[in-house]
Amino acid sequence: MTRLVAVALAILLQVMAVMDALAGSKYLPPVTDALTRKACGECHMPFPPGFLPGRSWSALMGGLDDHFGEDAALPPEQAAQIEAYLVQNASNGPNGRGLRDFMRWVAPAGTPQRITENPAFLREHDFPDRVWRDPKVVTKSNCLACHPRADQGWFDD
Amino acid sequence: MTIRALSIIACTALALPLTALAAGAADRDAILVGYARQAKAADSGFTTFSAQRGEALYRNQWGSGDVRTPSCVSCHTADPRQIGRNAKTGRLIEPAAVSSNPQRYTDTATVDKHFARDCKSVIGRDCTPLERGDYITFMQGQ
Repeated sequence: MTRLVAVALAILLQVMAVMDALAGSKYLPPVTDALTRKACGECHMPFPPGFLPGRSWSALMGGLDDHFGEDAALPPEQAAQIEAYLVQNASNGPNGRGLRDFMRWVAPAGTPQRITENPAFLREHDFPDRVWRDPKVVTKSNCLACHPRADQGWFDD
Repeated sequence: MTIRALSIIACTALALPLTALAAGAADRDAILVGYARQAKAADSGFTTFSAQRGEALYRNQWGSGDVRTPSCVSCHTADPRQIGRNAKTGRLIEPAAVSSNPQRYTDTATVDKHFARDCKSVIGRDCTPLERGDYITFMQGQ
C-alpha cells in the first residue's frame, strides 16, 4: 500500500513538473521541512528555496540578526539545520529546482538576497502603485496577498 | 459496535479538547509564575501582574522602535481578539487574546522569543519580566 502511494505520488510529481513547464513555470516546490516552515513562517510565508541559489540562502542564514532590518536571530543549531535544508533545495542544490527565467538573471557568483528584485519578478509584477499600496499587500514579498496557493508552491494566479 | 464502546469513544472525543485547554492554561500559569519570580528578583516591592498596565503597554504609541511598528496595535489591531496582520510582511497573525486563541503563551521558548523580538521592534528594547507578565495577564482577560 505504501509502495502504491509512493508510485502514485512520483507519477503525480512528474505530471506536475510537465504541467509546470507547459504553464510557463509557475510552480516551485514549497518548503516541506517542518522546522524551516515554522521558523520562517512565524513572520512571513516560507519562500520556495528554488527562488535563490544556495549561496544566497547561506548569506541570508548567516545574517539573521539583521534580516532586512529585522533581528530574526535563531539558536545556531536551528539556523544551521534550516540553512542545510535551503541549500539542498536551492535552485542549484542537489534536490533543488530553479525557475529558468529567474535564474538566468543571477550572475554565476552573485548572491541576490531579495527575490523581489529579480528582473523576472519585476517583469511579471509591473503594477501601478495603487496595487502595491493595498493594505492587504503591505510589501512586495507578501506573495499570499494575491497568490492564495503560494504557500503550496503555486504562483499561477 | 457495542453501546459501551461507542460511549467510550464519545467520552474520549469530548474530553480531549478539555484536556488540551487545561494543559494550555497550566502551561500559561507556569510561564507567569516564572515571570513573577523574575519580577520579584528585580524589584522586591512587586506584588502581582496587572491587566490594566498590560493594556496600557499594548495600546501605547511608543515610537521608539521600528517606524512601521510604533505600537502592539500596529500588527495585533485595537482588538486583540481579532486576527492581526504583520505590518512589515503582511502575513496574517492569529489573535493575541487567549479567548480567541487558547494556545497563546503556552510554550516558554516561543513566548520568550516573541517578546524579545517584538518588544525590540515596537519599543526599541526588550521587555522586562514585569511588562511580559502584565501583557499576558491583559491577554488572559481578553
